[in-house]
Amino acid sequence: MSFDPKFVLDFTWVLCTCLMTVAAGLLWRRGLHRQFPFFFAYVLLILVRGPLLFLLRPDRTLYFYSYWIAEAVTVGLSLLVIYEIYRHVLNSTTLSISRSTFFTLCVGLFAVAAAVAFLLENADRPAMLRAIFILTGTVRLVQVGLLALLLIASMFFNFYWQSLPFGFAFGYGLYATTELVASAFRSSLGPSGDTIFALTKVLSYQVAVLVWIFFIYRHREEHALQTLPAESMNEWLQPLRQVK
Amino acid sequence: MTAFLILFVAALVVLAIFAYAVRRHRAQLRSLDDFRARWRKVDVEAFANLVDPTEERFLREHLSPGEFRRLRRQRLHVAWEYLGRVSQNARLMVQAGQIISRHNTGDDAVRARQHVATAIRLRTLVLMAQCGLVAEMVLPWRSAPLENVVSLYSDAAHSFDNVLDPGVARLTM
Repeated sequence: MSFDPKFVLDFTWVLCTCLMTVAAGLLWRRGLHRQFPFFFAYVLLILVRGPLLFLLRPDRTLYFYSYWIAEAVTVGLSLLVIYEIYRHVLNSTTLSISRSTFFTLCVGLFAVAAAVAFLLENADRPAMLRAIFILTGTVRLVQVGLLALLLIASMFFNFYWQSLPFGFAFGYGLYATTELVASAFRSSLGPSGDTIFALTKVLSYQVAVLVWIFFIYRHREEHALQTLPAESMNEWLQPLRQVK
Repeated sequence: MTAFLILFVAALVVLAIFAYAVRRHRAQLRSLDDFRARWRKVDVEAFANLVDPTEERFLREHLSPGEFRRLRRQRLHVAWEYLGRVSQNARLMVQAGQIISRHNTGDDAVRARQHVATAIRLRTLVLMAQCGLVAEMVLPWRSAPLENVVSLYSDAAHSFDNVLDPGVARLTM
């Protein structure tokens, strides 16, 4: 039995669609689409874009442009998902982040990431392909950078993370980081690394979707666990009285 | 290949941050006992004395230079320990305040958010004080401004006390 990457890719694509349907269904059933509208829109976009692109496959030119337009929309939406995560983590502090602050942060990171992606990209490729790889590398660097910044700030200040935004950030961070390494690997190997890149990308995405499903599924149980009886509130004062 | 290695190492660092974040996420505050167990006692009065510049001047004037240097080193180590405790408590207060703010509405939520802001300022101030203390250990003629930390810590504790005023805040964890 020989290893057929195309079969694996097609299989994982179907699997990914099934998993995303489960994720979307769970989000909808638990009413979480109202709390995380951007994430829900992102999941729906991924669900719709696959079959659409599949139908456009016979026309290569149309497929090419549709693919990159869909990719641009997905990237835009993924940044909004990260903004949503920032908002959820910071909204109970006074460090609430506005859209303009987030946009400024993105622009700053884009400038740095573009320079890094340009330096890392293989100069032997055709100009068009090179531009595309630099752009996608930049986007991934920005996404990873934004999530890493939030995690570092959280570790420093000990911010409270509800499990759902944490799960979204964790899944997405894993995927973006793995894809970044895979794209660097492809860049250093040349065209022979394309299959490895494609396989790594889809597999890491499956893992991310599984992580999301796990955290969405667990979300309801968490609520029931965490209720503290009101009469215990007095006890909270105890440790503080010791310091005065 | 060098570029790939650099990116690979950077990605490993990011993955390590994620792994650490997962560990930390599982260790978030879950109950009152949890909070109490993690709270570290700080003798504010002793800490205030320790960082009081007049106290240090007094010691400098009444001790021999050798004795003073030895005592100063000890005092710096104790101050370092206190800062670590204050930092730990500030971080606890940030998280507890956020939980309270999330599960309450109106004035209670506003007060909890103000409290989180104070704890965040305290955590930042502790970091600056720790840097100052390291500088003071290396360059003995410098002195780290630690008095602000003590006063802000007292304020933060008071503010926390108010947030947790029994019968006012509906506390769920």
